Amino acid sequence: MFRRMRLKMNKSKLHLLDAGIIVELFRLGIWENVVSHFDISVSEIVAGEAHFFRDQKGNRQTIDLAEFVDSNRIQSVFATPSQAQEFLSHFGPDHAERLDPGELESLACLFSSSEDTLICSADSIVFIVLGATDNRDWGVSLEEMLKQCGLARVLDWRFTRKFREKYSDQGFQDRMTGMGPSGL
Amino acid sequence: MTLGNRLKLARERAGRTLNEVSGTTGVGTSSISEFENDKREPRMSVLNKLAQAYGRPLAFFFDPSPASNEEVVLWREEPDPSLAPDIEVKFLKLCRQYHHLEKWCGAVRDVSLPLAEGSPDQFSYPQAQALATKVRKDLGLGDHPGPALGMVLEEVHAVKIFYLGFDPTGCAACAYSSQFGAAILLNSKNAPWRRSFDLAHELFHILTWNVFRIGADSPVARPTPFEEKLADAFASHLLLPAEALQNSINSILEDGKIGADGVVNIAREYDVSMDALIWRLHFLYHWTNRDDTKEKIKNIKKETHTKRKWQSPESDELPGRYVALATRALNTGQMSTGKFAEYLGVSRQEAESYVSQDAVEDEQIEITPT
Repeated sequence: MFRRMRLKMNKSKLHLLDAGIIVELFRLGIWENVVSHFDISVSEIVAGEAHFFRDQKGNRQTIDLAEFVDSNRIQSVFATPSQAQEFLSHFGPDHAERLDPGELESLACLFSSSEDTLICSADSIVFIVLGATDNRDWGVSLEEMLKQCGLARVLDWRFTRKFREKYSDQGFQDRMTGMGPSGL
Repeated sequence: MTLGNRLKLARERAGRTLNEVSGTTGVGTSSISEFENDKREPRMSVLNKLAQAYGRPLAFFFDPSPASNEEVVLWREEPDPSLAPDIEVKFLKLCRQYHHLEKWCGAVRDVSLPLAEGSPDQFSYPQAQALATKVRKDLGLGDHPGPALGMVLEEVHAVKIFYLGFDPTGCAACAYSSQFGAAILLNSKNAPWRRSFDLAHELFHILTWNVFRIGADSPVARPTPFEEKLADAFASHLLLPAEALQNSINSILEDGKIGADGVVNIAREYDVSMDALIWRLHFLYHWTNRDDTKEKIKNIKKETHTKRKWQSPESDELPGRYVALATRALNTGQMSTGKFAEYLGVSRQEAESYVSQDAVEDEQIEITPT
């Protein structure tokens, strides 16, 4: 039901699920490159939050995502509580507490959509959710994403392919041992 | 319970009017009303704003079980009414978060305290004093319970203790719930020796929760003045055991008197305020004139106030175990980085450093069970 395609060189749909990815792209100074390379979406909650990063001189720089949404350079997607409820019904309401509100909105939105969208995150719980729903190939790390568009960088552990694989596998193991969700 | 019911309940429990919520969230009053009456569904981003305004996690609005009516915060010297609801919301939120962390890490512990039983009309000073003696013995607190009390309650008996700073009044509170167990809130702006007494005072309310709080349709939210006096008597007997205190006094007694320095030193030894110590002496040595005792306190304070400096209180709001569990939950994929930041009250960037520090390597140490 939920079809996703592997990363392609033409403009693939890419959902940036957590603010950590966005902040890192700004910190690395490659946000604009990534925006031009992918069809980017973020959740309405993440788009509406204030984000900032420290530049190389240590100065605090504000990120204005609304500006990119308003100019249609990135897309903001929203979910309703009913969609979130449907997503949570497979995991239990407890997952609403474990996830960031922006992440819950993103996952609710993506799990109720049939569009081919890759999910980029640096949060272990997100990859566990994807593994537990047998959707490991929906996830992509920042490292893989940048490599695909020729912007490869040495990144922190949480942005790496190994990190994604570790937690996707953990989620898949949960599924195999009956600890994962049902019905997805 | 519908989403609308939960929205209304959360707003009412937070003591907010539609207008007030509209003012802080920017969501129109008619929209909020429609959401509460299930006429329209808010977007998740709007629900998130409302949840923040009510001090509720988003999960509260997705919980299919009936909303619990049992969470009561009991105050010792309640803060200004304009501040109390916000502090209560924050305190209860921390209690629930602590419980979530325990659950996610498989570290839920039951409160193991010698809870009192009986009815309120049977409970008087001798019972409060006997309870103090029993608690001191059962908890292994020794002759000087003050310095160790907080650690023993937290580490051994699973009482959740938080420190929040609030002005201009208010000193301590407690809550007891079948969901998160026993929790105590102390004012971090109070002097450490006052916090010891507050802790013991709140412990009395926890121990007697079934005596004074249960029985009515909903928990009794306010202690009577007599219950407060019992809590003070309990705290005094717990922190200043008669025999040990008399031995301490005898060891510095000169010609049947002790100087102001001696009083200060004993108060430090037992981790209590001078007021608490002198009132304990009042009852222990059967002084009869309360005005004389008040005068003694005033004079000793006058003489010693420059000697006993107020050390800056610890600024940590969160128990060490809470932080350790949160770190574990983050690094085992039990919670998101954003949630971790929220639970610890740190920035997202700071939260991310916990992932980097703790999860770079997957090195394992082999342990052979013995």
